[in-house]
Amino acid sequence: MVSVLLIAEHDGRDLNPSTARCVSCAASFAGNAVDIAVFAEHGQDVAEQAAALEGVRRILLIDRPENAPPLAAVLAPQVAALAADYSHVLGPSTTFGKDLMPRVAALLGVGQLSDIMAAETPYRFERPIYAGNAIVDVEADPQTKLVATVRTASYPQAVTGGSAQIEARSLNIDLPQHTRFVELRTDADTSRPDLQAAARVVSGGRGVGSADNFALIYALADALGAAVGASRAAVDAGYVANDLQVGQTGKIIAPELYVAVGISGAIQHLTGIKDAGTIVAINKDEEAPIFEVADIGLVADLFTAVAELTDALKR
Amino acid sequence: MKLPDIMKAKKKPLDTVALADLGVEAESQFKITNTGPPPERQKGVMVADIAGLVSELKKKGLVDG
Repeated sequence: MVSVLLIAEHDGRDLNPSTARCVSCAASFAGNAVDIAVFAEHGQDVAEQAAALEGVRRILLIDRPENAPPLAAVLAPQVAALAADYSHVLGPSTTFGKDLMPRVAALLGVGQLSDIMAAETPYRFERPIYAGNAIVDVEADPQTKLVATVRTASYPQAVTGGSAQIEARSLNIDLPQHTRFVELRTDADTSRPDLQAAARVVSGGRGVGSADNFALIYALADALGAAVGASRAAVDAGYVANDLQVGQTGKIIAPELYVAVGISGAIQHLTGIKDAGTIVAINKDEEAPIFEVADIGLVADLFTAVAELTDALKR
Repeated sequence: MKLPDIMKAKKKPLDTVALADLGVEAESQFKITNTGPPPERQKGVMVADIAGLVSELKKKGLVDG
C-alpha cells in the first residue's frame, strides 16, 4: 500500500508554499493517501493551512516546545518514528528539506532520492543530474521505504479548498540534546516577497556593477511587486547577501515572471530559473547566453533600460 | 609535500579488505534506467526598446494595461 508522509515547512505562523508543491508531487503517485506532518509549537494555524490543501488525507500535528525552531537534529528522530506507517517520506528540496531528509533517511537505514521532478509510478521517478543538463529515470526498490526530496520548482501548488482532519500526536521518544537553537540573526528584508516563493523575481548580475547600483534592481522589483535575486557573480562581488543567490548553488525557483538584469546566463544560473513561466533578459551583450533561454530579450544598457522600465510600470 | 615524504609514503602498508568481511550490503535501492536530455526552452522574441518590452509583457498578461 502506497502512503506518503509529507513534512510541512513553515515559519511557525505560515505554511511555506513548498509544502503545497510537494502535495502535488505526492498526489501524482499516491492519490489521496497523503498525510502531512506539522512539527511546531502552537502549530494549530499552520496545521489548518495544511488541512486546507486539496488532496490531503490527514494532518498530524506534533506540538511541543522543542519543535518551535526547525532543527533537523531534533525533528529527524520524530519523523523517523512517524515513518513506520508509511511507504514514502517526502520533504521539499529547499534548505529545510535538504537539511532534514538525509538525517531521516540515515535513521531509517535507507538511501535518499533527491529532487524528484516527475513520478511515473510510486517507484519510478525522474530527477536532474549535472545541474539539470541531464535527466535520469530512477527506479526505487518497492520493498524499501523511500525517503525523498521534491524539486518544488517542478510542481504547481496544490489548490486550497480541502478540509483534512487534524490529529494531534504525541511521540514518546527522547529528543537529542546535543543541538539547540540559540538565536536567529538576519539582515533579510521582510518588506519584499520571499525569493523562493515569489511569483515574480527581478535579479541583478555582475553587470549591475556595485552594491549601490542594486538600488535600481530594488526599485524595479518594487514596481513589479517582485522579490529580488542575484547571480553568483553579484553575490561573490559583495553587491548583495548570499541568501539572494539564484542558481545551482543558490535557490532554484519557478516564478511566473523572472527578469534577469545584467546577467550573462552561466549554465549554473540557468539551472535555477529553467521552470520560470516567462524569462525577461536585459543585457548589453547580445551574445550573452541568457538570450538563448529568454522569452523576451532586450539588448540595452541596463542603467537606462531599468530606470525607463520602472517608470513605464509605475505609469 | 617533499619528494622524500612521497617515497616514505609508498612504503606504508596498504590493507585490502573485502566488502563482505565488513558485514555491509553494497546493494543500492536505486537503479538508473535511462539518461536523457532535459526539455529545451523555446527561443523567445527580441524587443528593440522598453515600449516593446512592456507591450510583450502586457500581451502575456504579466503587467496591467
